[in-house]
Amino acid sequence: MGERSQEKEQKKKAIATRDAYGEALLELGKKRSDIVVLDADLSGSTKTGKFANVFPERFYNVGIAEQDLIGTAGGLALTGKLPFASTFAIFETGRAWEQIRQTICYSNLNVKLVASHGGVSVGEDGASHQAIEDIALMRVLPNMTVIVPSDGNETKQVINAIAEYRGPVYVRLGRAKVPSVMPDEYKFKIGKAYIFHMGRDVNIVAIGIMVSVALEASKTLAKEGIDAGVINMSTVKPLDGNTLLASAKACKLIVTAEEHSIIGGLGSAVCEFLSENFPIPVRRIGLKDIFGCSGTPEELFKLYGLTEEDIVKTVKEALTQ
Amino acid sequence: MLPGFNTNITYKNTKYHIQTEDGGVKNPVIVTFLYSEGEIIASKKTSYAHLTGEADYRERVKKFMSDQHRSVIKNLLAGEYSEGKKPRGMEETVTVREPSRTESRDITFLIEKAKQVRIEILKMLTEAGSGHTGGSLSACDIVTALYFSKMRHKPYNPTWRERDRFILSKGHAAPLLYAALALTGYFDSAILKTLRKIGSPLQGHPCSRTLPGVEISTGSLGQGLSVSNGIALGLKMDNLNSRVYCLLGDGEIQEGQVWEAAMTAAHYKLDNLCAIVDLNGLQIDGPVERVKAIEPVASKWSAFGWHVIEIDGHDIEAILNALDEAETIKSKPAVIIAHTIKGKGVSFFEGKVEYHGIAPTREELEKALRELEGDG
Repeated sequence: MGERSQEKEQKKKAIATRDAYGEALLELGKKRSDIVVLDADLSGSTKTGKFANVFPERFYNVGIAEQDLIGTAGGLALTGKLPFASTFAIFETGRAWEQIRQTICYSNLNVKLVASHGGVSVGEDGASHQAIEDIALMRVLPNMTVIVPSDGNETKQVINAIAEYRGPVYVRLGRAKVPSVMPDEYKFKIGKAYIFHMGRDVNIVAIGIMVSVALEASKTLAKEGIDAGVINMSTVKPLDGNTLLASAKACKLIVTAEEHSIIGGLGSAVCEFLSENFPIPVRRIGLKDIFGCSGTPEELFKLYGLTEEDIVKTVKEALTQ
Repeated sequence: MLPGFNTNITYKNTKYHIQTEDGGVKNPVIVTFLYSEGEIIASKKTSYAHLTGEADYRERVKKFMSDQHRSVIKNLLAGEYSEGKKPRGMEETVTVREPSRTESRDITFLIEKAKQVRIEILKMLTEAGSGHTGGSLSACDIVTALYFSKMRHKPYNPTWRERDRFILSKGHAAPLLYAALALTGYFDSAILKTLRKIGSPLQGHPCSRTLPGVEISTGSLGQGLSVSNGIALGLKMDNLNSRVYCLLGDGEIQEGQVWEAAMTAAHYKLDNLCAIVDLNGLQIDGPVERVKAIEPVASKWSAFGWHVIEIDGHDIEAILNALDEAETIKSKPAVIIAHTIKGKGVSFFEGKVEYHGIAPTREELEKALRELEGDG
């Protein structure tokens, strides 16, 4: 397949990770009767509505009450159910943070928090609805696993994998369509990063929608003679230290890319690990301690330095320093 | 297992069938079902766990069965179950209490137990040197009535699927929960003196990961009712008759999440849920009405779609009656507003806001024990 037709194929398969979640959840519901789904009046947007339509007796809408959402999910888990609780990322992790801490993580309950609308790709709704702190908020909690899938295929695998895993999990999904980036034979495993290719000059460690951006940047850099590897670190916690260490040892620079604040998210996690295990220059692509705003996702990516060009520029500058 | 009784009766042109069965030694209950046209319209369940150790228990149980069977027939013929009257459902549930062998309505026994619970609370708090005295004592009679009488639970099998659940939403009353768990046999009472000490399963606020019998970790106020709702929903999904009891503080209902949960419980018609508000009138910063008024409490819950029962929270009989009434309410959750006194049982702690969050000194403990044991 030529490069162009491959791109066409990827665009055709473009699907928002939240849509993939809706489909995966429905399939899971058909297989397992212990799956229950909760939402806080956003089932149309988080796509839990698909499950609700088929299994109304296993779907609970608690209304606009995120703190109650978390507690109710916790209670259901205590009776042996497997609850998936969904709403927008900032309301789930921000509004109900302490409920997640106290009720879910401290008691180590088997609750899956799957939130849509992570990052600025939310677009026009603006800063109030764009979670840029959620990964930081969830990563800091003991017992919590944090996963950010990059495309539809990976999202479906993530949903199935976390259903088999016992313990609290946070999954961050996006509103916007993302191109299909993971190969068909890819098998997701919690805590295992995927290496697209290991670069000799730089390795770009990315999550979510930024994986596809990193892959584009890698192609551009290759044309300029810079060998830029790309790693999908979909499990942000626990971080795949082995892969990260190997990738750092193989190159001169690590760049992290996420649609999140550069404080507390993937960039921080990578810096924490590398500074203790293999200090090497790192550059963080992300929101530089600033809130989002209204605009199209494309405009916002440009505004906040999250484009392919931004990655290329960052790499080149860092390598010449 | 003893042979049962079966009777067919036609009353006012309707055919009824009455059936009484023995659950056997492993499940020592006598259940009577009243059928009308193939459907159970009423039932009566009585435990005889307290008889199983007796030498002549077979004869006594037989008489028990025959009496219960006849009482249902008598009630039927008295028009108790006729049209126009609502089916009474589980008309009387004498709980199966294991391993305690008490009569659920033995008020003297329960008053004695409440005293023992208070003594354990005071002793462990003194030993710990810190903790919440006032709110543990105010809810003591309620929790005693639940653990020693009303709730179906098996202390030697804390995860028994069919158990009733107790959620201590006001987690700072942990000493009360710990005393109730220890005295009903969940763990050795000797562990109580490790409260708040390094390595102890008895954390400052209840932790479900370290202590069997604690359903969920609490301590951050306002979260227990949502969890109770989730449990109640799960129990309904599994068609279990277990009930959920959630104890809230009065200051605690200032938390917004409580009212989110109150709406959810009413919306989902959680009639297997009973909330209890320990209305002792005081919070850390002072009288609740002065800090931030919560009154009128009863009409707030009522407006949120709950069945409200108001009682004196230190009257064991009133507590049991309220818990029974709550169980009869269908299609809505019930809340018991229990008027209590902070520090109840120890005269010099009663109504004193300063004892919300401090433990008794050794001298205070001695004085308190003398008072409780009736020698003071």
